[in-house]
Amino acid sequence: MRTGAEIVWACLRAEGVDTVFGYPGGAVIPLYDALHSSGIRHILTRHEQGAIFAAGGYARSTGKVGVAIATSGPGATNLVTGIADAKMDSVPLVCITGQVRTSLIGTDAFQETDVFGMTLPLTKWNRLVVSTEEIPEVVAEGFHIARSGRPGPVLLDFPVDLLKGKADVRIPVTHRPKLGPRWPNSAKADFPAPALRSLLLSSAKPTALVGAGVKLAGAHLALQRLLDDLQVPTGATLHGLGAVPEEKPYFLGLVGMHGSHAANVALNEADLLLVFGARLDDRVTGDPSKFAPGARIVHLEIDRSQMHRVRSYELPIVGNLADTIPQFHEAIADLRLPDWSEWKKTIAELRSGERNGSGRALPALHLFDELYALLPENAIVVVDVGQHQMWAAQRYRAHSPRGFITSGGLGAMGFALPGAIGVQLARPDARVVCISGDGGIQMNIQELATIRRYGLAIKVLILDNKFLGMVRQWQQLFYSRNYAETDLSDNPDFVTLAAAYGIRGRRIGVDPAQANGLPADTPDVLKRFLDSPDPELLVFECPREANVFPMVPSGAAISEMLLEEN
Amino acid sequence: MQEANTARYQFQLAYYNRQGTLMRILGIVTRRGLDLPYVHAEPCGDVHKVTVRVAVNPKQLGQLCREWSVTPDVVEIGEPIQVIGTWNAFQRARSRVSAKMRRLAKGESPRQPRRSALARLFAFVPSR
Repeated sequence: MRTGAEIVWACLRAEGVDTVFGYPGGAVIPLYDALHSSGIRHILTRHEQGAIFAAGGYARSTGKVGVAIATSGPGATNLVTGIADAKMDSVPLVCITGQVRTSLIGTDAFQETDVFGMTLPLTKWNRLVVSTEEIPEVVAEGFHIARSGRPGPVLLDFPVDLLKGKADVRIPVTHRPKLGPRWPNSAKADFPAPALRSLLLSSAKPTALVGAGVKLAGAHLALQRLLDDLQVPTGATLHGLGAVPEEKPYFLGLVGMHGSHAANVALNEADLLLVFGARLDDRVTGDPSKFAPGARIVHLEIDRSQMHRVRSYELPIVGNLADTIPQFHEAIADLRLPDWSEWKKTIAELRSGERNGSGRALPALHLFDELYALLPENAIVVVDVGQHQMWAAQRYRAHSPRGFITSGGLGAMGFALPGAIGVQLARPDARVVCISGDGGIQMNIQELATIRRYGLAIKVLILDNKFLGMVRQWQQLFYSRNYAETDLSDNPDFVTLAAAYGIRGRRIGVDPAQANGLPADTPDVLKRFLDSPDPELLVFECPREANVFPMVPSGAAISEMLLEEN
Repeated sequence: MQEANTARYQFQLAYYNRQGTLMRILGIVTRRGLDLPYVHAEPCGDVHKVTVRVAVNPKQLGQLCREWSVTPDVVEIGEPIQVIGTWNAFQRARSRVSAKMRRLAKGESPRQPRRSALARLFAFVPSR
């Protein structure tokens, strides 16, 4: 006979879990009481949101299921933003929450909250566990759902009396419970090769768009082989960055709201759009009714619910991209493709003619160029949300498919610092750089203590413009410079703050005398920052009113880009 | 007040009646700000079926079906049927939906939607 808590740990071990992130509380004390004999490493963060973002970073950098633990009530509610983030970005997570004892459920007991009901629309699946005996089956089902098909978050809510109760159970479970949905199995015989060939043969301006689905399926190499043969202009979504190396001549960089001019023109003027594992959300399409108006769309995607978001597609192909991309390649293997040289030349000229940044943002852009040039092959950058996120994405040079990690769909400020903790723990060999703004860093700055506690050599780069920069940019451009409540000029001294957490920090600013706007010793400063075996913090005092360009105004077509200020 | 570009539809879904499944099915409707004038759920053999009537525009019609189709424990989605008349006047249509539900009631194994009129809503679905 084992206690429910011991059963939970044994189930986690059976699922291959080696690390969990959490924060104890009354309803999960039995779980923590049994932790010491579990053989699983527990990482104590300083806030439940830190725990779930760290679990998200762990999952995003490895593809494995991340696990976060919190107590009932406020512990559980503090997980909610991280759950929504994981749902939007297809991150496999299993969240374990404590619940008040069964007899108290529904009585508004101390630290009781209906986290099951609260997370119904945010999770792929959730469950309030009702008996100690069912724990093995529920955990197995939760992990299966979290990692199958399009990955996502699962929440399992354990009343404290069930964690203390005892049962004689078999682990691992020997059967899989009946489940829906059944994800498509991408049978080769059903691949619509004739229709695809016909669309390719009749196109004059084909363009490819790469999204996160390619990386989630581990299909980036298969895609590169396909695109090497097609040689069509190719852009990437924020989460697609890294799937196609920067040096590929057909690669145009980021698409969408702050994408490259060439990439957005290629998308907008295409007569055939090949979409690989991207949702075509509004940050990519701009006004959906004006998106790629002349294009027929071939959409390869595992999640049926993401089809036809913009309009009804000519050729939706639902399946695992690890299957459907090779099937695509095989379907066109003997095809004599049309001559697309004029189209490719037009887009290549646009790409080569793009300005290398302009205005007040130049020093920040050059800082990213210097940083990326110094990063080793195994580097992973974990980026927060805001202007720095877009600059970091615009200048990103792919090092690996999972080398650029950020909260894209939900856009959750405060993700980067705890996210980097999860990444560093999952990938101790990798150089992990957390890039954040002065707003975002303060949303989870308490996790500097976690970095210190576990001696993680994470490099934290803060772009400090003493504004909520992206909101301020919109206020400047679209709200007559009414900078309502976005001024953060009373920010704390981040270097002193880092010192209080036992982390060394330093500060650099701009140098107008230099062509790139950066102090002459910036490369040396960055090298020391990156090479140190300890955690380091570097504050870059960014020009206050620097803006991100190009920019597609909200609700405009992606062809209506503002290329630069004025 | 029904919006101009909407039409009233009846949907029927079969699902495993486990915690939260019905709420997930209905949540996919309510997250779009749509009213639920008619919902009826009942056992149907080894599974349950729910009948939902709702006014949707053509875009929402496809969205609902596609989202339901990837909801855990939803095992069958019948073809939507347009509701003519008042919400209450539409009674137990003899349709392919009912046929599917009767099959499920007999204990036959549920299956995912295959190539059919539903294909226009679900996109290409490889056979299994």
